[in-house]
Amino acid sequence: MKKREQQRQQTRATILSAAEHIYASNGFVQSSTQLIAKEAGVAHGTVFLHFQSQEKLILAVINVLGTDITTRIHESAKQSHSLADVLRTHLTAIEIHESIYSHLIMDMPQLPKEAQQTVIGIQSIIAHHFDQVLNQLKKEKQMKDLPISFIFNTWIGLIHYYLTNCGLFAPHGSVLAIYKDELILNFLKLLEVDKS
Amino acid sequence: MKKCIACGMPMKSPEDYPLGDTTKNYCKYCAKPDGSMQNYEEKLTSMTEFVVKTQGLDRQVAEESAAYMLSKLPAWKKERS
Repeated sequence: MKKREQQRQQTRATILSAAEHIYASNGFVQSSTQLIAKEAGVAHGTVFLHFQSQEKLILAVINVLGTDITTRIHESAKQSHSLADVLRTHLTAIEIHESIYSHLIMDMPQLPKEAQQTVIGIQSIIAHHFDQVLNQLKKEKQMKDLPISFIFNTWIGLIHYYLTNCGLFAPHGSVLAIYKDELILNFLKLLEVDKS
Repeated sequence: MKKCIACGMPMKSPEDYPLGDTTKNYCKYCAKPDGSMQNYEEKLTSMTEFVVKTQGLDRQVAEESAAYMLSKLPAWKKERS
């Protein structure tokens, strides 16, 4: 690779990393590209040389976040594939990015349509792993017969409720660090078939 | 590890491939029963149905989102707007 291309890629990665940091701190809507340029140590115009618009920069950041979360779930599916494993891997992946993920879901209604569609794509990959384990559990009659969309949306809704109200649940730290085990345990209990 | 050109799914083992054929660039979910790849309309329909089934979204919203997801994948360059 030529030196100029290496430098170009390095600058792009630096801007992306700075944007992730700024969005994680201030949210997607409140953060200006000036602030991101300052954080990255580049001229304001350089941001647009690499990402054309603020919208494209936001999409690139969401894609990086989504790729990391879904790759962790894919990798985990390699070793084991119980529902508890899928739930734990999902929450652990979100916990790693808790701040930026929380801002993403809170800012979502104000973000461009493509951002919402990208998030639906990320959720689709997670839902694929849900679908696989839930089908197996349903076949074995180990789980209540509920539509997958209801189970998936209940799980997502539960996580998002805790994250968007983090000030109520964990004002001084990570919500998921505190509630992860409890959420997984009780969600599994909700789905279990009553054998008594 | 290869990624399916038609849906982006990582393909880790032979069981991820259509009829176990690891020379293919697409996954079993993007294949027809005979192992050939679904066309764009078929893939758009199956992905839309999957989004409706798993996320419960409005069908039109699901279809627009599926079309957006497919537009980012190598198999559907021609369909990109």
